[in-house]
This record gives sequence, structure tokens and C-alpha cells, in this order.
Amino acid sequence: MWIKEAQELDKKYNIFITLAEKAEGKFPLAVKDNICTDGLRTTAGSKILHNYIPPFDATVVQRLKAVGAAVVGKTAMDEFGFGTFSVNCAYKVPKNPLNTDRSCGGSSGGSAAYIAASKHAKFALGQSTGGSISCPAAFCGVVGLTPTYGLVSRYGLIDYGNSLDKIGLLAKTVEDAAFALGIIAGHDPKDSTSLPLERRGYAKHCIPQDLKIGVPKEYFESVETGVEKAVWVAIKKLEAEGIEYREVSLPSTKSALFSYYIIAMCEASTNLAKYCGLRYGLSENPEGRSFNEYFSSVRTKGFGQEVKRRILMGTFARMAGYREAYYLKALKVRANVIAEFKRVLKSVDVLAAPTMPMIAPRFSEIASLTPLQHYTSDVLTVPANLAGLPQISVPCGKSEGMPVGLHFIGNHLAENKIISAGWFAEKIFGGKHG
Amino acid sequence: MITKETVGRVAKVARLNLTEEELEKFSHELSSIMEAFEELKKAKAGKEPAFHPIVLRDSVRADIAEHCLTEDKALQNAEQKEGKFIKGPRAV
Amino acid sequence: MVKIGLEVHAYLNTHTKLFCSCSTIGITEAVENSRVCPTCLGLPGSKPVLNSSAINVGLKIALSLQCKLPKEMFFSRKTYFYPDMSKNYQITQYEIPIASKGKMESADESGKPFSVSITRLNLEEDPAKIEHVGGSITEAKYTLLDYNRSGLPLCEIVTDPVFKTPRQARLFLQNLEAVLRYIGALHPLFSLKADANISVTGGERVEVKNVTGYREVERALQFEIVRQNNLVRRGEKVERETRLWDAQAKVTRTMRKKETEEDYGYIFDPDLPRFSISKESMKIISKTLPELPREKIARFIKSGVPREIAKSIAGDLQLALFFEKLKSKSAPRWMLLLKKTLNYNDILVSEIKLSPEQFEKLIVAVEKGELSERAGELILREAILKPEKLTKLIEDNRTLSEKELKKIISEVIKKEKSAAKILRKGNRKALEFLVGKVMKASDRKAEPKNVKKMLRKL
Repeated sequence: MWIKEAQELDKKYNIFITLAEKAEGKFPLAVKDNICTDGLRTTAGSKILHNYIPPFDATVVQRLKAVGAAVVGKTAMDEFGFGTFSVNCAYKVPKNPLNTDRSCGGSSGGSAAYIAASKHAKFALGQSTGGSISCPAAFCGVVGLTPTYGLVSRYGLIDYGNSLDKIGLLAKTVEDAAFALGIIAGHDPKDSTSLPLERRGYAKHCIPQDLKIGVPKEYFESVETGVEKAVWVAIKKLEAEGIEYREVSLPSTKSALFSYYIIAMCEASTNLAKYCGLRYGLSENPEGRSFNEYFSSVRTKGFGQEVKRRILMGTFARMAGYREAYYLKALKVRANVIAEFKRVLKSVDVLAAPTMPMIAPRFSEIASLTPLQHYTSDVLTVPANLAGLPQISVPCGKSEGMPVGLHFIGNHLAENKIISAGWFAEKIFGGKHG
Repeated sequence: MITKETVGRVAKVARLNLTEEELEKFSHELSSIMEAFEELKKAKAGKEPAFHPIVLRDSVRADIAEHCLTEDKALQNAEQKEGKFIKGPRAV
Repeated sequence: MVKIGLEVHAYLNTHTKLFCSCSTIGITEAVENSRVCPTCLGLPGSKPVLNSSAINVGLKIALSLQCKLPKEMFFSRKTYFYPDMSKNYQITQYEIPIASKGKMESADESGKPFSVSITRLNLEEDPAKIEHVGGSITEAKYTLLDYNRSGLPLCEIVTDPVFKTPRQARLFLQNLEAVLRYIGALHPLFSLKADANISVTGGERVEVKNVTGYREVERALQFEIVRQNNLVRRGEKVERETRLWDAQAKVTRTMRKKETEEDYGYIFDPDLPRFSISKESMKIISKTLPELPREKIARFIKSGVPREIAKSIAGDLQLALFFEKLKSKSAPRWMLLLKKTLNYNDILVSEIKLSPEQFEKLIVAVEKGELSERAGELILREAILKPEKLTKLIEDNRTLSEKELKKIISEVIKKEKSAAKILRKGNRKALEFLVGKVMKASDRKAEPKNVKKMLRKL
């Protein structure tokens, strides 16, 4: 039944890169294709891993299987997570179930589309480096929960930017997301960056809390009018329900974007060095060939354009002579961005802002964007991701008939507050609750 | 400005073969991206680099052996192999 | 002037690999690719977790080499492509390694002590084992890879360019191995691996890689000195480059020139946190260390061994351990003699067959006057490798008793009447002449000093 639905949805929306043959368990689970599943093909959306069968489960998959998850398939994504619209795909480009001319967002696009369209699934696994959960959640009108960096184990996640990557959830409701977080969160000795925290429940935070909200003024600077309006209407509705807000300022928003891209690309360019036609993935006959020629040949064939672009930039930014100005500087700018968030989050409990500056764009619009325009469209999600702060995106209204996401950002490990805020907002805006 | 020559040098370090058109295109794109990124130089910075969003320390494991992969699992994804070995290109 | 520096790699004595739980016990005998897991194979999604023992063993080395320690250290990714790499980056240390600025007491070929400055220690992972099929490394058709070794914990020990001869470099390596084994830091199945850098006056620094064995290090460096000096003499440039030692052809060959050197593009390894090095843990570790060479020197001097000799002996740990078993008063002097003999005959301390007890027997025989000094030296030379001959050699070379000597002297004097006559008048030449005759007649078993004394009394 779950497989059949997945097949049908895949036909309509190109949701899956690989479908499972059978799915038996208590509930269906779609998994972003950069999260390893034992015995089920995992490509991270890349041709260079077109034949890769992991010999182990990611910790999150293992924990969900233990409570009855049946993996239905591996969802479409930008190759290695490098994109905002799920169009940098080596396989089929997923479509937005609300309007198939439009993008479902990225890079966890397939997981968001599945949750928007499925009648059976309550949540799916996604992953964010710079906004890849919140963005597709906003575009597809579902809930996206990105936990604090280190709260959920990255073991089994195919790395993009290891100091930024977080596994999280796309879900029908805030409560579904909070419930699933309780299963996957908690310390994992296989991930050295996993925080030493015990596993605990999060659904209990789906109650009203007395929260002070901060609205960062910089987060409305380059936002589409329709989105801006919808978000302000939502904030006013919350105010009417007794949740006060005040304006705050995060002046480092723009430098956060550059810092983020430098760090992410530097880390990515080293992570992707391992794909070279040995041990796994795309390969050729190595006989009679020098390693330089062989590696270059396999990598050139296996990687898409955006991957090459980011490898080039990441390699450049850490090369002798540039390392200091780009890589090391970016790490220091990150320290400042974190400090800035922490300062603001002393006076307010959560920040609220539009998740994305636009509604889901049409594929024709995306085609005319330059690479730099792609990158700058992440400007609202990137800073919180750079700082490793937990975020939740909930649908708050519509613009041009497409959903608009409201983004709540909390302090490190303040999942309780963003869950409460998201749950309350969902109730007010007429989500599945209420 | 990132010249075609620089792109070529970086591509060599990263083991990517680029066509003449790609060199041209990437030189153009990377120049405009890096130009925008120049703002980073003026950006407010903390004293110490932040390796991670949260300060992490001392996560180690005990020196106790655990099961390795079985031989078939270890080699299951290798297309290029010979006996129990992985096969690779010449080392020079 | 020749300047040589070493980059030594020591396999650490741990039960498991550096970043995963694959066993290292009996690793050299294990079936190919049977000691591997997602982490050491570099599979997508795998993550490193640091072995706590590797830090402790690294700190043991740091303490015994008198290094400075940071408050905390971290790991970096050194990115370069090579077939034996599981991820095409090596997890190693760059900005803040586990230790730096140390020193080790060593001794040169003449036994003169000198202190080797240690630049830094890095903890890092070993690459896979690579076999070249169908020819040498440059001509092979393809390679075969065994990842059992991938991820074994290494401590890279980098020295300043303090060695002036290839022999000094080799002696240091031997001694370093002895020290690392003695403190229990070195994996029992491995000896040290070393790369060297070498420059002569007027030339750039050249790195020499792919050398197995300490003797080969010496040979490769000797070859380089000749090659580089020849270039300088001809007015040609010694270029900065990396060269490979071809042990069969006994030459070094260009591997890569400076302009094609890899740009490693170091970044902090974002999969690993920082690691603190606390004073408390250092105290615990220092308690587990045995008496170190520098402590031995102090103790030897206190017990009356001359300072230079104490340093020279403890400059080689194995000699120091040998020396500690000797009780005779003249043992320190004999240790110097032993060292000289080893060096002269190109014998390693580890190759000595003579036990300290047997050596003691020889020393005592000389002390008692049963053997001449000279005979003792000659016997030592032979008995180092063939101690089973020792008893017979001592017997055969025993100095003559007074009675035996008197008899020979009286016989010589009977024959050489005229010389004896002049001798009695105090002629020096006659004395020497007669000493020679007596020595010959005694089959050189007489002690010349004694002969002289007895002849003068006539």
C-alpha cells in the first residue's frame, strides 16, 4: 500500500531516486537520498554514486526502524545537497505537488513533496546544511524542523559541510515533527560531534508557552511583497493571540551568507575528494592508467556542473595564499554571527521571519538565475544554519496561491521554544490542529 | 578576477578535467561570485575561528576492538577488484 | 656542509585503529581487506571517532622526548590524491599538534653525545598498503590495495635538520626505535619508517621518500650527498624536489618537482572536536613511564661514571640497558670500546650476541691482568657476534705467569748475549730490542710492560 502510493506519487512528481521493493512496518518513511540505508541504494543525488549500496544504516534510520519505520524510498535532492530548488539533479527533477510548474525547493525537495502529497506518511527525513529543510517545507506548505547542530547524529549522512550538516524532519504537523525528533535525537558515540545529551521526548512541548518574539528587520530587505504581507499578517495574528513581538537587528546577516558559502564549499571540496573510482561508485578499468589521469576522468564524468563549481570554489578558498583571507576569515566571521544571535536571543525567546524571500519559483524562472542569485536566495535561512541554531518553518498563509513559510529560530538546544511557537502558530493559522 | 589559468590550476588540484568552454564559463562565474564574497574581508569577525557552531570537546572512544565488516560487505561496492584486493591505477 | 632532517613515522602500540574500532593485533598477518570498516575504507557517511589510547601513547612519546604540550589540540584534513588514500585526505595535525619543541639525547659515530631537536609530533592515520603489479612503481600496469593498514595510528616525529652525516641519522633512528619500544609506544609488529630531507651548501632542500630500513636511509642519503655535491661542483642547480629511493638500483629518482607539489589546502577536520590535554592526565601518564635516558645519564654520573661517557652510553638506550647489567669498575670505559667496535664493524646494538654476563667475564679477566688490554680488545671484536668462542679465546690469550715469563727471558738472554750486556749498561735500544724478542718468543702472550720491568731488573 505504501509502496504503491509512493510509486504513484513518483510518477506524478519525481519524488524518489530509488524506491524500496517492499515496506513492512508500523509507518512509512521516506529518507533523503544522502542518508545511508543498509542494502538500499544511496546516491546523494549523484551519478558518481549511481550504484552505491551502503553496508550500514545511518543512526537516524536505525533508530526509526527500531520503532517500526518501513523505508519506502530515497528522495530526490540536489546533487550532494548543492542547491536551493532541487534542480541540480543528476536524476529526475522533483516537482511541487501544489503546482507542478514550480520547484518544491531544495535540497530536501523530494522529502517535502512526499509529505505534501502522501496520505499515509506523517514525517520524512530531510537534512539541512544552509536551509535545505526549511526551504522545501515553505515551498510545499509543510512543516520543516531543523534541530540544533549536534543534537541528531550525523553518522551515515553523506557529508556536504560537516560543521553545518543537520539531519531533521519534514512533517505534516509540528507535533509529528516533534514526535519524530524524540526518536532520532540524542547522543551517538559514532559521531564525534554529537552532543552528550540523553534521548528525550519533544512532543510534550506542543503546548502554549509565554514567548517573546523578535522580528529581525534585516530579514525583510529583499523579500517578495506577497511573502512580506503574508508574514506580517501572521505576526499580527499571533500578536492578537497575546504573543508580543518586537523588532530586533542582526546586522551580520549578509556577511553570514558569504561566511557560510566559503565554509560549506571548503569542507565540501575535501569531502568530495574521496569519489575517485576506487572501492565504490562510478569506475572505469584502471589498467595502464596513471592515478592522476584516472581520478580526473572518473570525477569529470561523475560530477554535475554545480558540484564542479563548488569543488573549484572550495579548493580555491583553502589554497595557499587564499586560505587566510577566505577560509580562516569565514570561520572568524562565523564566531561573530553566533555571538550576534546569542546576544539578541537574550532579550527574546525566538526569532520570527519569512522562511524564504519568495514563494516556490517556476522552473522557467529558475533557469534564468545566475549561480550567485541561487546562492543569495538562501540569505534568510543561512545565518541560523551557520550558527547551528534550531529552526522550524510552518505554513502561515498564501501568496499567488502558493504557501508561505514562517520561520522560528531559537537558541542552541531551545527546541522546546520553537516547537511551542510553531505549534501555536499552526493552530492560529488553521493547520491540521485546532 | 579569477583567470582561466587560475581555474585551470585549481581544477588540476581538484582532479577535474575542464573543457575550454568550461574554463571560460567558470572563470566568469567564479569571478563574479568571489567578487561578491570580497565583502567577507570587511565583515566583522570574532577573535577566534569557530570550528563548529557549538564548542565541542574531548569526544573519544575506548581502545576496544569491535567487529569489522565481513569480507563480502567490505568489497560489495567495488567494481574494480582482484581476489581480495581493490584494484586501482598506477601510483605515478 | 650537509644538513639532514628526518620525518619519522612510528606505528603506535594500540589495540585498535586511530579513528575506528578495527583491531590492530596481528594486523600484518591478517587476510587482505579483512580488518576494515566504513570509516577506514572511507565509505560515504562514515565518521571518525578518536581512539583515547592513541592520545595517551602520543603523550608518552611527547614526555620522553621532552616536548612542549599545548592545552588543547585538534586535527586537520590534508587533502591530496593518491591511490593508497581512503578519502584522498589524511586526518593529521597542522596548526596545533599534540606536541612540539622537544629533544632527544643521541650520540654520533665517534660516541660523542649530541642532542637532537624535535620540531613537532603529529598524530595521523596510515594509508592503505599498495602493491604495484606488472613492474616497478613507475612502470606498473595497475595497483592492488589492501586497506587493513588504512587508519593505523601513527605518530610522525619531525626533527630539525641537525644531522651532519647519514650515519648520525641512522644511529638516531636506531636509538629512537629503542626508546619508543622501551616506553611501550611502538607497535610490536612494526619498526620506524623514515623520510629524510637533505641539503648541501649551495643547494636547495631535497626530500627523499620510499626508504625502508635504517641502513637504506643511510645509503640513500650517501647517494644524495654525492649527487648534490656533483651538481654543485659542476655549477648546476640542486632543485627543490621530492625524490624516491630505488633500493634495487641504489639511486634516487625524481618523484615531483617543487612546482608540481600538491597544495594540501589544510582545513580543520569538522568531524572531530578539540581535545584537551590536562596536567592531571600528564601526571598519570608520566608515572607509567620507565626511567628515561636523560634520567639514566643523571644516575650514571652520580654513581661515578664520567659525564661524557655517561651521555655517550645513554645516548643509545640499548647500550644503556646493557651497561646497567655490568658491575666492574672499568665497565664505562669498556662500553665506549664496545660502541667504537660496533660502529667500526657496522654492527647494530640489537645484533650483539654477547651477553652482558659474558662481557663482564672479559672485563674481569683484563682487570685481573689475566688478559692484556690489547688482547681483550681483540677478543671483544670477535666475541660480539660469536660469544661461544669467548672462553677459548680468553684461555688462548691469557698473559704468562711470572714464572713462565722468567723462563722465556732467561732463554732469550742466553741467545742474545751481546744485547744483554749493553742492556745492563742502561742502553735503551737494547731494551726495546729484547722486549721485541721476548714478545715474539712468548707468542705475544706477554704483557710488554711486565717484560720491560723484568728486563730492567736484570
